[in-house]
Amino acid sequence: MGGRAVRLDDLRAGGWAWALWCAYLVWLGAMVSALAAASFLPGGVVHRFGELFTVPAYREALIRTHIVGAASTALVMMAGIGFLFSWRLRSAPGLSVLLRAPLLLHGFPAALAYLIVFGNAGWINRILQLLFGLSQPPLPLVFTPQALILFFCVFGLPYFLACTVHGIGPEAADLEDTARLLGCGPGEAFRRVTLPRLSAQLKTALSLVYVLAVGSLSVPMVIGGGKNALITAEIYGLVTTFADVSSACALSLGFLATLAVPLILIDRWVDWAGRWVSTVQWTGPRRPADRHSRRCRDSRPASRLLVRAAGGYQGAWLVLLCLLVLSPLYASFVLDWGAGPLPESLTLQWYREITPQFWESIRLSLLLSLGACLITLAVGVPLAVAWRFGPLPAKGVLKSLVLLPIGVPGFLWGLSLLVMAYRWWPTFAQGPWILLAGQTFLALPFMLRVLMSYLEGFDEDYLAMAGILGAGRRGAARRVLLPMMLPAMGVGALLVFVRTFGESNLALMVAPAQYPTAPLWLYQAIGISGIGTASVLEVFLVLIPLLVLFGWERWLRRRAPWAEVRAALPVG
Amino acid sequence: MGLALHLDDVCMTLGGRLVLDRFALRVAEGESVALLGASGSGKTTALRVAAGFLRPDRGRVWVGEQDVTPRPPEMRHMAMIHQRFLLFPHLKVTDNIAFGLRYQGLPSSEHRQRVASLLALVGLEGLEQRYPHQLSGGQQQRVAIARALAVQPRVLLLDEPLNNLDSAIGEHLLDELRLLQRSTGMAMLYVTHNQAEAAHIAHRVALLEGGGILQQGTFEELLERPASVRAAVVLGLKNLYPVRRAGERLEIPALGVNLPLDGRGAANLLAYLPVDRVRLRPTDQGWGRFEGRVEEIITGALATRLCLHREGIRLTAAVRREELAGLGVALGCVMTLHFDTAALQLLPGGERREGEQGVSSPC
Repeated sequence: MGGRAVRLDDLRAGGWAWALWCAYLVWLGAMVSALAAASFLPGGVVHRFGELFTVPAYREALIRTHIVGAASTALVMMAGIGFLFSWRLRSAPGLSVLLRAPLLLHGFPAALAYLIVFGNAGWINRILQLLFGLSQPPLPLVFTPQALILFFCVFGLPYFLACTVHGIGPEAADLEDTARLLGCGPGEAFRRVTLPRLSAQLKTALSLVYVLAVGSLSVPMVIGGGKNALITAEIYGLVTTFADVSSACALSLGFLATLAVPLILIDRWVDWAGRWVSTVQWTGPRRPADRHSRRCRDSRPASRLLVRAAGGYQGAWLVLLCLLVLSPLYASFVLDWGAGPLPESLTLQWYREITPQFWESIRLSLLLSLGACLITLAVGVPLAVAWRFGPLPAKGVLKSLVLLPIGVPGFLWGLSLLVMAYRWWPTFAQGPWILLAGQTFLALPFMLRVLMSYLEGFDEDYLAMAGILGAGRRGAARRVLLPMMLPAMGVGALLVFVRTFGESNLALMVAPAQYPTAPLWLYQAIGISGIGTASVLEVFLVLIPLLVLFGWERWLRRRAPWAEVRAALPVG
Repeated sequence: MGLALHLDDVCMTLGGRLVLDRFALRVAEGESVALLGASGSGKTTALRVAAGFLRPDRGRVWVGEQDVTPRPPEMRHMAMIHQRFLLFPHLKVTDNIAFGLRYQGLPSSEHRQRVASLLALVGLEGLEQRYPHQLSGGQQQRVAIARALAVQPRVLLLDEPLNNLDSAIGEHLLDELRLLQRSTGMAMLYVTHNQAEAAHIAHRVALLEGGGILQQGTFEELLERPASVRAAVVLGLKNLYPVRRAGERLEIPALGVNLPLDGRGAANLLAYLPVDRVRLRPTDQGWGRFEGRVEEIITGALATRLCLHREGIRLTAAVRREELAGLGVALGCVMTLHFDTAALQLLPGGERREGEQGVSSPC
């Protein structure tokens, strides 16, 4: 219950909340400091920072990176806002879940799916060649910066929707209805009422898409091409080809510094644009008579046409995203592609060629994901509980700070981990534990964010009620708090599993050669064995998280059938 | 009769605002007391202080003969029914009811027995295996009642328990709560802003405003003899008129009535005339009369409220419906009402609270 509750005073007396969060912040600080410390190795940090802007290859890669990031983010924003508007006009139940399916694909698996659909020998080019009798693929959708922009636009949209779609729920509908009764058309109601309310979600979504685009290492390696390397590939090359870790760290810090600018710009721009779109008059002042005629018009065929267009738009995206998710399954059966859009012969030979190393990589990825789930649960639950009930200062800042590992490209954390490991514990860097540490670090924000969001809306009165019925502090935590957190823990663990299973940016940096995870094995397969074998691996990479997703969801429904808790979950 | 709960001179500040100001309340064993007041009057805070969710800045809380001020809620022998029910969503009906039994040190066979008897008491047999979200609002509130009764509390606290229920179910539950309280004989502290609920369930009503008690007594006493103008305003009483001194008498110009001074000053006084002492026809020689235009006719279940208006002055009467029948009373028509001048009460206008001597010092 509000105010100075006695039960919370008891929690405060322990000071364990402080200790937990201090430990977490020290860990975060150590990861950032490792990059900074490594930059000061012989050679001079200022000189190396300067190289980012003076060496043409680095400078061009940096500019290209930010252009790709900005263009992808802008496209995702346009497509995403269009999608949200269409969603307001026509929302199909279950569609939002389907649209989030591509979140299962990231890094190498996503790049392979893109290649199958958009590649020079991909479906789209083949269909166009067949239709127009062309000998060459008409659309250069790989190995160009435009290809990267298209990729991040297509695969960024699910992230955008995951961040924003819950903001246009029933309350938004009621507000829009009110606006429409006051004379707004559907578009104007969305622009003036719903969009400004979404500004926080839009900021998160656009920042996430930007960071995903500029921080990706694996995707540009597959579809970017050598001439279009992004800064991430340059830094990776410095480490792997020239073994120049200090230069790589200095460039990384420089890159991080430049990354702050667009993120701040996105933040400011969304605020400014939100104000602008809610106040700008695009059609000039309207007379009362116009209001009436407009409302009548909206309820007649023009409005139905709009609803149909919205359905078409959603359908197009759905088809494209499903195509990308399912393409590896199709490709894994193709033996001979032939010249047309349909393959000339199908086979199961790729499945027969599955090697023990293949299973070993799947096993390693599974173990890493399960390990990350357990560790993030063990660390995340006390941290989130301490954050909710402990006397911590600046809780809003802490909530944002936990997102730092997501906000910084994964390969940089890998580099930082490598630096620390080689400095303090070289044998650690040569085993699979470094992978587990890295993946856990990257996955913890997902767990924490889900738990914190749930606990933020948790009604403290439940604990008070348990208290007055005789349960002590421990009893209330064990019998009320933890069981009620169970669905949130389940969702958090699921996100952690899915993210860790397909993670490749950090793995590329830190995975020892003898411990290739499944995504890394997939990357090798693309280069060595071709799309057929790689597709088989990708089928497993999609199927396993998918099965886990459905199994977990069913288990959660059985274990936590109470609607009240499920409704409070951040992930529907 | 011994005391079940005693809040003694409690002061409580929340968010820099003094919410309870030298608050004092006694609830006897077997007594049902309602805290009646508007939002922000401090009634819920008083309840939370009693429960132990909030620790008062000053003052003590006693349960029986024991000072429980430093004790946590689980050691106060109380139970609470909340307006949002607060049933644990992950537990079935039986588990919710049995939640507190684990801490009573009873064998599990007795748990089952007590849960079964409580289910029968609140009429929820057959719903044992349901989750709270599978129950209606009324059923959820019954589970909350059973859960609270299961621990056999010394004091039962109720925080606007009928707020989220429709009026028919609410009225039915109120009857049941009243019967339960009378049959179990436990002390009850009932917080509400609804006068009908307070009148229905409580032996005694404490009227709250600004973190203190303005007046307490039976509901009838409060209506018939409000202690001050503030108490009358908080109760929403009608027919309050200014008073002025005219020589050795007090004059109520609105009604054209003079009263003997009897040593009283006219400053800060208002005259109050209970609505049931205004009639269509006089029953005695000493009755006054008021002629005005009918401004409002509100038909209730038992009585009709009639409001006359004349030159900015209003007089409200509560008359039986059958009395009005055939008189042709309609909005806008001019008619005369008669009132009992002996029923006029002079209310002090100051905000002095019950039990205070002179000007109170802040906590």
